[in-house]
Amino acid sequence: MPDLRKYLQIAALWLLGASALLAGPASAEEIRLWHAYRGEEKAALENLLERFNATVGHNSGHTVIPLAIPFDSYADKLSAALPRGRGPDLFIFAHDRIGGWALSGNTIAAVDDFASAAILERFPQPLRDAMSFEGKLYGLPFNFKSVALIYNRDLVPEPPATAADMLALAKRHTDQARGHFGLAFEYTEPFYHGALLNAGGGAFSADGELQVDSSGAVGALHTLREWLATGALPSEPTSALVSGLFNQGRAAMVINGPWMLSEIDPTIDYGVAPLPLLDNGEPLSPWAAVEGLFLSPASKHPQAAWALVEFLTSDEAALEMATTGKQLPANSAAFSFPEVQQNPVAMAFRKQLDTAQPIPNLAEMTLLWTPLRTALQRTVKGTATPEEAARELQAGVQQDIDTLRAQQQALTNQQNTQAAPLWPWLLIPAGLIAFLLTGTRRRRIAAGLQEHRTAASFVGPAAIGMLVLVFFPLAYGLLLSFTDTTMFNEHTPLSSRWAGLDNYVAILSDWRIWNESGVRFDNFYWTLGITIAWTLVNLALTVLLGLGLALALNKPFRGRNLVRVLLILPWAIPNYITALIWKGLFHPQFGAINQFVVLLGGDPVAWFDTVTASFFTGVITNVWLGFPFMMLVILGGLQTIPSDLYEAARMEGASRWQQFRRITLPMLRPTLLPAVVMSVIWTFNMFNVIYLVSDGAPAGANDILITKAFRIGFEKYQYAYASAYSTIVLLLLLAYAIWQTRVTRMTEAAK
Amino acid sequence: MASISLKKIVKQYGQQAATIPGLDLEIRDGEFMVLVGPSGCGKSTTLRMIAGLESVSDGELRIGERLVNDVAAGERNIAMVFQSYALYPHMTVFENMAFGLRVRKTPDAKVREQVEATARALGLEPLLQRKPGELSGGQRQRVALGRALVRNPDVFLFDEPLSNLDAELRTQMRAEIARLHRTQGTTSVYVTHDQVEAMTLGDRIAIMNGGRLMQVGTPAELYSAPDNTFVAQFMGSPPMNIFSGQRDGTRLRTAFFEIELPTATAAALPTELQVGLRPECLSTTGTAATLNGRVEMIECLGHEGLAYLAAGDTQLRAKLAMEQLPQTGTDAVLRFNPADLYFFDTNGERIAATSVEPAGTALETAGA
Ligand SMILES: Nc1ncnc2c1ncn2[C@@H]1O[C@H](COP(=O)(O)OP(=O)(O)OP(=O)(O)O)[C@@H](O)[C@H]1O
Ligand SMILES: [Mg+2]
Repeated sequence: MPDLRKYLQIAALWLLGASALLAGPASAEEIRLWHAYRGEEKAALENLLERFNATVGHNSGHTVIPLAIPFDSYADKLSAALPRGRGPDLFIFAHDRIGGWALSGNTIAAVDDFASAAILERFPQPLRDAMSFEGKLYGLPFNFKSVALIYNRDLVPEPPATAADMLALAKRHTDQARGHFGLAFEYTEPFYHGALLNAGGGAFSADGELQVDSSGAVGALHTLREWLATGALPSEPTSALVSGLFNQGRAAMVINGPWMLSEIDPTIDYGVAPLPLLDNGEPLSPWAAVEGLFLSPASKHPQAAWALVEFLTSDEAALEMATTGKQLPANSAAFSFPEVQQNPVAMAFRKQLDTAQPIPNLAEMTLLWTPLRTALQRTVKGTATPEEAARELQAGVQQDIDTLRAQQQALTNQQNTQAAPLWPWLLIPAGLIAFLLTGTRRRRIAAGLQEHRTAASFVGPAAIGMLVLVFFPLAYGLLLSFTDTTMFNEHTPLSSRWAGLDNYVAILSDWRIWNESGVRFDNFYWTLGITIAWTLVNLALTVLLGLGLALALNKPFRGRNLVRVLLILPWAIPNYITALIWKGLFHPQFGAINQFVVLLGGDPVAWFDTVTASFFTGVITNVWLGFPFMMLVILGGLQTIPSDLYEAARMEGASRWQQFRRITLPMLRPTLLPAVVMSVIWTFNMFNVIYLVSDGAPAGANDILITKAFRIGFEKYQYAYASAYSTIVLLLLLAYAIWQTRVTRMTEAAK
Repeated sequence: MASISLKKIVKQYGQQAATIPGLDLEIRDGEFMVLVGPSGCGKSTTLRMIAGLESVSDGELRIGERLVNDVAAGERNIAMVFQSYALYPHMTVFENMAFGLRVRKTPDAKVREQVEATARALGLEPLLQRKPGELSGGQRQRVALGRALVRNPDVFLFDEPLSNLDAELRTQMRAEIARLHRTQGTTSVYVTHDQVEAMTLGDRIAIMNGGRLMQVGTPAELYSAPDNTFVAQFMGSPPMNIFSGQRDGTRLRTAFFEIELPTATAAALPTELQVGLRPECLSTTGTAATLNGRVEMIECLGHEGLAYLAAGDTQLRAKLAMEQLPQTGTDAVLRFNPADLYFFDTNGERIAATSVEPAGTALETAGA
């Protein structure tokens, strides 16, 4: 029965397709809890949930069903599910999104009615503040994290009490020549800068106004510069560098959070202490990140969910989180249990909390991170004075905040803030299908399907998959680009977000590539120029290198196969790994490249500080990644050229160069052309290399269109603008592909 | 125009035994020399050494008076026609033919003039703007010839240029090559497998085997006076019958016949020898000697046919007129002239100056 088998196979394919579209509904007696915990913290949470299910839950007839979601997609999943009422009953998330969620509505529920004063007593004031927004309480704090001073006890027997002591100590333990540093931390990361910034008054005033150009904030930048001027801190710090130096005993002290502890080498005897006091007697006050327990406004069992929240923040639960979970529980009672008190590390982080500041939970805060990082980098590199950097930061972020506020104003003016239903979207494919099914077209399509029935049924599942996975997102992105969607108005009706061609006009009509302070690196045309230069330079170099190597490998010599395999290797390694390795090689202080430059008697190059050097780092990496493909393609092409053509040419007296010019090159054309087309498209959109190596440094100058679009979408949360950007990228590549096939067809016709 | 001289030419590839252990060959100015021999005997290698595409391991290679062992192919002023034609597929016929002139930086007007003249001579004019992919096999061959001709070289080399063509085209192109050589008189070396090509084209033919030269001579010389069994069997179709014989006094005994030899001849022959007799020298009529054999098979070729005779383990082919062909399975008696016999020693070398006088007194005995 071969036919039956075939139909069964087809049915299985269809089922696979269909099952991807269906999601199971939840049962009435379940409390759904979402989190992104892993490892020990997950184990502790699951212990607690088991206990709850056996006691409180058992009595009230509720069972908690936890769902661990990968961290990377967690925020998106919540933003997509909660406003549509399809999320969990409660979830665990960082507190800094409270402001945005509270303003957009329908995402988190205020819990003032549930939370009794007795319960609130459990938490220190800063953590309660962290969970409040505009006078309302949105959930309870669960665990907290902040940085503190982690020191190598072999080098630093007593932690320093003041910043001056700390730097003096750090200087003593610095030996640049040997790569030893007294103090290491990621000082260009905004989160770590919090300690200085908050000591200077913080990023926002008490009434929520941006004040990153206040004298305190400028002072914080000056202080950072003074610290760096001691030479006791490594340049271009990354988290891997910081923990690496500490683990090799090459950093006496680091400023880092509890997340680093599990990575510390067991041979290092370390201690943890709160950050020291500044010269004026004020404490350094790092930012604290709080994990909160939030209720969904759409929960059908708010009472039961709240009971779980109370249980999870109880003294008993706090002890479990502290011991099994190795967390810092928000419930202060955890730190009076002897098990925890005997742990000096936990106690030190708890002590640090007293001077820490929760990260502002204002929606505006999300707009600050990336620009603040740029400002920090510019200050550190000296391309701007602290005053200039602060002034530009204030102006840029204030503008984004004004846009955001105007949007929110428009939102509150509208009555309808209901989540947009998804079903109208289905009208588009439905309309398309209806159009296709009119009149003669229907008959033709039906006849076609009838004729190629088996083929159609095999293609069907894949076609549906493509429709769902490729065309739908594409259409959605296109639609999005005609709106003014941002993170904060995502869930409002599409009609209220409609913006027509505004995004495109804004992108394409902005011709101000220069202003008084130089090139505006966020201008579309600058980025387009960089992208084209990036593509052409890479293409030229990969083709040249690939051609050269292919020509060399095309001649027999000893060890040829080995060389060939070695040359293909860069291609066989995942490109992000290669990119990260190259980033390490280009590190100004520790990278092998600068060490080599110094060995040759040169001065170390600050690879990521100038536009050209930084461009070059990306090009080197990408050529390294790209030449094996070209080499293989060209080698294949060379082998299709019959050797007697060269013999004939030799007989006619053609030199090697003439043979290459008149025979090799023209005969490689047909193999090379498709490879060039593909290479252009890949390079044009080579996100990984740019993002991981130069990260667009300096200040986004070396971003290509696709990384720029990513930053607009996921660092500035301007989804619609980013969509328009991506659409323009798509159109550019489409135009290129069409042009290229035209040209190819024309030259082929000419043959 | 030039003569070519190969003196003790050796070709060695890597460590293996020499492919050509030492070749001496003189090709005269304006001569059409054909190299033949079985596959793998080193014909192409020899040709490619002359061309400069293969290095010469040892010996002296001269073109004209010039020693060219270390002269690059392009400097020898030689043109070569390849079996695969080796036309540049991305160039038009015109460009293909002009290639050699252009790499020598010939002025454009001159290139045009020369290419067009050659194209006219070969009837290629209408094809000048086509690419090789748009030509038939014969046309491609003609372009390859044209490309070789256009430069007016001192020497033409051909490596089995016609083997990719069908029989009819081959005959036609063969005639064309012969005509070109007649009109231009350029020294040519021509490698082929095909005896007919060799016979019809060659002023002289060099027969090679296992890297060694077996014999050089005009087609007639090679046919009538082969130096050894190899040449004897290589020329002529079907090849000469060779079978062993024993001389006992003046009597020569073979599996097929026994004859009386003239005393002078007998004196020159060893007791163990090989006897050759061409199939076309046998017939059923005439007064000459007879031989007996059992007819194993008959092949008809139209106006004539082949009879396969066996006597014991020994076989013999006879080319006979159709009406003379015996019946399969019968014992046949064929006649031959003892003067047509060739004698070779057991190593296959011709025993010189031995032929049997047409005495007419030869005795006949039945074969075993
Ligand atoms: N590059 C090489 N390396 C090693 N041996 C080779 C090489 N080229 C040819 N030979 C050997 O040299 C011998 C002569 O080869 P050649 O091509 O001259 O034969 P040919 O007479 O032209 O044969 P055919 O009639 O089949 O073309 C062959 O045994 C061949 O295997
Ligand atoms: Mg050959």
